[in-house]
Amino acid sequence: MNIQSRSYFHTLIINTKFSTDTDVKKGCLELLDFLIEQPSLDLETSFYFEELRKHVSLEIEDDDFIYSVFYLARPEVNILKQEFSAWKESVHDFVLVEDKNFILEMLRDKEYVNPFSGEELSSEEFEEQVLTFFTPTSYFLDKRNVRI
Amino acid sequence: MSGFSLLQGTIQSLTQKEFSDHDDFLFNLYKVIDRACKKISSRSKKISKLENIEKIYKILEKLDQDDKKEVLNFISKTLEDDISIRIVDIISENCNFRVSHEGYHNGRVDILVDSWDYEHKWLGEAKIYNGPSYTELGLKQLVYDYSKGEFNESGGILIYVDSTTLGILEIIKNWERKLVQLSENPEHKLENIEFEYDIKNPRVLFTRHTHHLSKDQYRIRHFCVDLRDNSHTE
Repeated sequence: MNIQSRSYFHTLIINTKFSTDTDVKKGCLELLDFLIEQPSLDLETSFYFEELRKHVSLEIEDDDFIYSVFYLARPEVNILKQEFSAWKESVHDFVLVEDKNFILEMLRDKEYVNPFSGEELSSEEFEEQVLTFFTPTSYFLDKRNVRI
Repeated sequence: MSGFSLLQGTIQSLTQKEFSDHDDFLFNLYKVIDRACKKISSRSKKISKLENIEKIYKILEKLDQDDKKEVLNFISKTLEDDISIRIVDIISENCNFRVSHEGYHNGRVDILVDSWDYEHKWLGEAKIYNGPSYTELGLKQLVYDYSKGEFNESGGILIYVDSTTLGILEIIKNWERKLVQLSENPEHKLENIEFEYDIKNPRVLFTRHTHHLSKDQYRIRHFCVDLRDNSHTE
C-alpha cells in the first residue's frame, strides 16, 4: 500500500471545514504548495498580494484568493503574518510600520495620515503610501518540513 | 495602482479588526452576506440536499392533504436549513464575524452573527418563498421571539426563492405592501415603521421600527437569495 505523507500544514487545511461554495480551501492549499516548496524562506521574506497571486490558479477568483491569504494569517493557523510598510521620505523607501494598531485605527476611522510624517492623506494617497504584505511566521518555518 | 491595495474592499474588510460603530459592522456584514448570496446563486448545483425535489413533488401528489402539508413543511424546513448553513459557512470565512446556524438568542435563530468582540449582533431569519404570508412567519419569529432590541443589535429577513416565476423586485414590492398592512395593526409590533431603499440595489429593503421591548429603533434588512435555475422560466 502506498501511503504518501503530507505536510503538517496541508493536513491541517485538508481537515478543516470550509465552504463548499467558495474556492478558499483550494486557494489555501495552492499557497501552501508554494510556501513549502520555496527554497529560501526566512522571517524577512515579504510577500505582496501580487507575488502570491502568481502561485494561485486563475480559475480561483481574486476574492477567494484574498480570503485564502487571510485564512493562512489567522492566529490559530499561524502560517503568515500581516505587516504594513509606509513611504518614508527621509530614506526614499518603504519602511516597516511597527505599530500595527496605528494602521488598523486609521482603517477603522477612515482618516488617513502618513505614519512617519503625520501628513494628512487622501484615500488615494494612502493607498500609494501605505502597503500591506505578509511574512512567514517562525511557527511555520519551524514546522514546514514536518510530514504526517 | 495595483488591484490589491490596502483599501481594496475585501482586503480592508479582512484587515479591519474593530468596527467603528454598528453601521460599520452592518456595512461589512452586508458585503459578506451579499458575497454568500452571489456564490450560492451562481452555482449550478444550488440545492445540494434536495436535488431530486421534482420527483418528490410528483410523489406528493399521491398523498392526502394532511400528509402532503406535513411533507411540504419538512421540505421547506430542510431546504431553509441547507441554504442557511451554506450562508453561515461562507460568512465564517471572514474572521471578523462569529456566525452560527441555529445559535441561541431567545430561541434558535437561523443565522446568528456576532462581531468578533461580541459588541455587535445580527439575527437572520430565513423562509423559502411561498408568498408574503409565509414570509410573515419568519418576521414574527424574528420580531416577537428572538430579537431583544438591544443596543447594537439588528436583524434580517432572508427570502429563499426557489420555485416562482415572479421577479425578485416584485417579491420585495409585495413583501413591502404586506409590511405596510401588518404595521397598521399594533398587535404586529411594527410601531413607527419606516422604509429605506438602497438606490444602487432596489432588490433590498430596509426597515426601522420601534422595538416593542427596548423602545429603541430596530433595523431589519429584507432580501432574497435566488436559487432558481433555468427550469423555472418555463
